[in-house]
Amino acid sequence: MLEIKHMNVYAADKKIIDDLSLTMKDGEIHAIMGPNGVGKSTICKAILKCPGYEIKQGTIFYDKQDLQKLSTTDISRLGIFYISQTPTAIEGVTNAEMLRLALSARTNEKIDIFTFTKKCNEICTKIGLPTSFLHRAINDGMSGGERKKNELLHLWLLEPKCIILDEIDSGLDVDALKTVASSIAEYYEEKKPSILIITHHTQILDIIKPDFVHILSSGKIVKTGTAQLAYQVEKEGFQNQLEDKGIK
Amino acid sequence: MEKENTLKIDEREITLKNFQGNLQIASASCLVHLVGENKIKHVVLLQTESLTFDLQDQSKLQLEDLWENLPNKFEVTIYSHNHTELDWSLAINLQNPLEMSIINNLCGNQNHNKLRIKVVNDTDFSCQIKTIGHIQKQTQENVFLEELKGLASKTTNITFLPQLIVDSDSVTANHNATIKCFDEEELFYLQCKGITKPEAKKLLKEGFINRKRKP
Repeated sequence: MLEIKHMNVYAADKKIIDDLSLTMKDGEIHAIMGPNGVGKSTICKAILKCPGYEIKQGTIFYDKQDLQKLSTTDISRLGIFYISQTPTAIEGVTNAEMLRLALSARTNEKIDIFTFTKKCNEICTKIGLPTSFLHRAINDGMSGGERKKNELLHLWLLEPKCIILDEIDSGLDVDALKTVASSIAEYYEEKKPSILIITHHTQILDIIKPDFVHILSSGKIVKTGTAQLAYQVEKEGFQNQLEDKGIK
Repeated sequence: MEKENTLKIDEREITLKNFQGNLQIASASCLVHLVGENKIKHVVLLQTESLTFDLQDQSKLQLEDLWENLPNKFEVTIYSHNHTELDWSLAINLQNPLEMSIINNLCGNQNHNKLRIKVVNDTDFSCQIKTIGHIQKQTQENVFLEELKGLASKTTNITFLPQLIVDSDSVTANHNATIKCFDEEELFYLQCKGITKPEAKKLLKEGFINRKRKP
């Protein structure tokens, strides 16, 4: 279970998140929606302890572990997996090199190269990624769609228990969005992780169906509802939802 | 697997003809004359302070190397006579203080020299690399290309001192130098995959060095 309580997050001495609380039980899917610039991505970065984001108040616990006392590496090894809207490209470091190291660290075992390659090839086939991508530099020279599929390769191989998707739908065409979202939905059916989706749109939520939708405004969750809330937002806009709460 | 050819040199002067393999140089100062096509993969400098490659007419030298345990101070001098080709990709993963000079003399005509140096410094040691490309008087149609790249942590430094001396009007010469720090975004990305910061730095260092080695 991921439990955020009364969290304030600052970036460059500016308060971005203000007294945010959110509880995400195992196997639950939560979506956070909100206008641009209200701090949606900051929540993800604060959970992962991204440099430059400081939690000055509040707590984040995952599986009873205080994430503020852990490093980004340790948070990842607890089973939290993050996909950003523009996954970082790293020239010169291949997927295979990075994944073997990451997998080996998680399992505390030396990874047999043949088993590793076979598993990666199976995943590539499943997600429609050419197997040659395994030996390409991480996200380097890849299109937006390829980068997201590349992240899916990492996801299926590392088998996280909690997935944080920060606007994974941004920059994807209709077909690519369907492929990426369907693969995550399939992963959900198989492994039942908890998923936190940051998004502006409902298309992704048509495929990865949320249990709860939260509306964020000025760093606070101002409204929570079922999946229906997302469709209301799409139909009426964020402003209507905020005005309902007396926020302008 | 075929064992790689390694030549140990104790002499102050030697001539290599169509040599392929590794060099282990034990003398303090060594002059290597090169004839024909030579491909040297790895150079070990045991006590060497001064190493000179003398490319004879029509000769070629391809040198691709990762140097780790270097003397603290040494100098490499290259003489290219006529119609020679030098292709040197040097990667240095700093392990101790380093003060290195590379002096490239193009003394004849139609030589083609390409030098790429990459240095990674994640230590507290200082690193200074001085390069001189000297295209001498009355020479024709030489090409001299030099690229220096450094990757350093925030608390360390790499100093490049590139210098071009062009005494001829008939030459194509270019040199550039760039130094960057470890990218915090890349480190964060790798840590998000469960890799520790030292492991992530190691991956980035290897990636930085390998970029020139892979086609």
